[in-house]
Amino acid sequence: MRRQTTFVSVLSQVATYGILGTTAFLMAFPFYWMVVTTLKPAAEVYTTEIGLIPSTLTLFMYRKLLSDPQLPVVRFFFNSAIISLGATLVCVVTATLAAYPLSRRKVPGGKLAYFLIIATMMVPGEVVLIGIFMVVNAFNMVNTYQGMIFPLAVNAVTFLIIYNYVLQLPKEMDEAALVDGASIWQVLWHIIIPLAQPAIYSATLLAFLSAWQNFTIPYLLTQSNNMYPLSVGALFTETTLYATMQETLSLSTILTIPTLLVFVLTQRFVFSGITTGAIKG
Amino acid sequence: MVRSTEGERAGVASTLQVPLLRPQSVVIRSIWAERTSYLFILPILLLYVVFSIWPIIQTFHLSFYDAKIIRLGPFVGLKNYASLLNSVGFKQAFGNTIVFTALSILITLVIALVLAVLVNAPRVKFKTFFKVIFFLPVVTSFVAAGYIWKWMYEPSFGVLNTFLALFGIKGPNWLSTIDLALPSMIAVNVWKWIGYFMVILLANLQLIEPEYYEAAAIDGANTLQQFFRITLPLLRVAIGLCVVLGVVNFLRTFALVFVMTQGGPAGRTEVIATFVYKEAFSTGLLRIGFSAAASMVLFALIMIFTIISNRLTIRGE
Repeated sequence: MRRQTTFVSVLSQVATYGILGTTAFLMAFPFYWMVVTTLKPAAEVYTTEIGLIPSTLTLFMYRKLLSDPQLPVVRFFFNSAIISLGATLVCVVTATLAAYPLSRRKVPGGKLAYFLIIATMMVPGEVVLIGIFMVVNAFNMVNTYQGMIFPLAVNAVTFLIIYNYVLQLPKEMDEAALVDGASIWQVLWHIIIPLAQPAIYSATLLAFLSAWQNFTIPYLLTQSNNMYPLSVGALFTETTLYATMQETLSLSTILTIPTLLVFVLTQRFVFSGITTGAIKG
Repeated sequence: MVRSTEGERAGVASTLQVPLLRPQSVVIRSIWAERTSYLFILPILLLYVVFSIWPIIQTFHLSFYDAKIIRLGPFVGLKNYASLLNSVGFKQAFGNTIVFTALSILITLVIALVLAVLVNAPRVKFKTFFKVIFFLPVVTSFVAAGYIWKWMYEPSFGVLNTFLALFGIKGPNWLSTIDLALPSMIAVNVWKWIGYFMVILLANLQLIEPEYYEAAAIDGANTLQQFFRITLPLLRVAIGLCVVLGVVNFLRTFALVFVMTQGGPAGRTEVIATFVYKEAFSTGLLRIGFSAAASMVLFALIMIFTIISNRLTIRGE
């Protein structure tokens, strides 16, 4: 009897790791395949041999991309960085400022403000392409950095992460400070922000990851290739310049590595951000 | 709360002393007491109203006009919505969007649930490793994801067909075959989202008290019964959240279509968001009012399904 249970439990262990391992391989393989394709000599790419492991590795594609005058790859990268860092900054600062009074003070009309903020979750950019174009155009901000930064900074999930965290902080600290005569500003700066640091950190990461990945907003609002971020640049390369798959994948690799790197280095905070939003919201 | 208590006290005192004073003044005082709070709330409200709420109002407004690029044009009532019902292209995009969303949610949810339960098993090691690997596609741009898969699906040199060739199977042209294009895109979307659903489900699995399972085991329930009687009911809220996330994110699919198929073959992968973009900006017809109406249909879909899935799961708790 006992031997049978150990046999069954060993079998279930093997099955568990088998399924998890296979899935992990399938999830990760496309990344390996993308990177390896960009590092292979062209002759090994366009062939009916599978070639899981390339015979030689070469940086030829990347050198070619960087020296192509029609393709300002460095500029694309720089644009991606400005747009996503700008959007992250605007998003997190506005969310942090509002999260404190909305979650802990009796502000008349606060419920309405909260509702408006949360309601934007149902209005992603893809749903209001025309409206966003009209508004940004009305401000004369089409094809500018600020024109992309503001729509990308609308990210109610990051607000919710900070809001939920501030909501569950113990009431005693800020109330004691207020009784001692501290201003709202001082309470926010000296008490709430230091205590809410983990949530602000998570929110910052999620805001950056989603802004960097975004394609729709810059695709809608850029009109010249010196303003393209990497995501739009990759599509431009393929559809306008008729680049080879290897070139397009090299751009895709440059587009992918920053977010993967940021995520792997900070995964604990990314996960906690997602699950605090998920368990409460 | 020095300021607000002062305000309240003053308010109470004045209503006591001057009974004729209208109650609104108390409201005004409490608003004045929170003036710094309003200053803190103002930036986010401005940002979200101008760049999210106002655009949807604008879109709604435009959907009743025969608008061309910047000219509003004549008011046409519901004519744009009527034209949508007669548009073969829109009906196809609508159907594709629904199929894409529904199948993506269902498949992603089932796979994520299995993975979450397996990773959560007490004796499984490397939990973080698996979580990180499964999550990699989530932090990958849809543009990059689209190109990776387009390359893997490539009919003659793509890894999928060269792999099938090892077994003597001649793989199809995945993205250009009428009946395979949409399923192939759904597969990419599932790959992209499994990690997100799985992390949410896992976090909620870890909240379930082990005593439930111990008690069930003593009563003789096997693993499968435990899953359906304990795990699944307790995950209802988390599953509901995944469905809402799926509704909001899959209905708005845009980049994947532009990168992988441009809507082809024969409109089989056209979705509402790409239909709107093409009608408004790239066909040369610039039918702004008409495509605004299509946007409103997409918005209505998101709203209706979000509310329904909220009612069915989260509220029902």
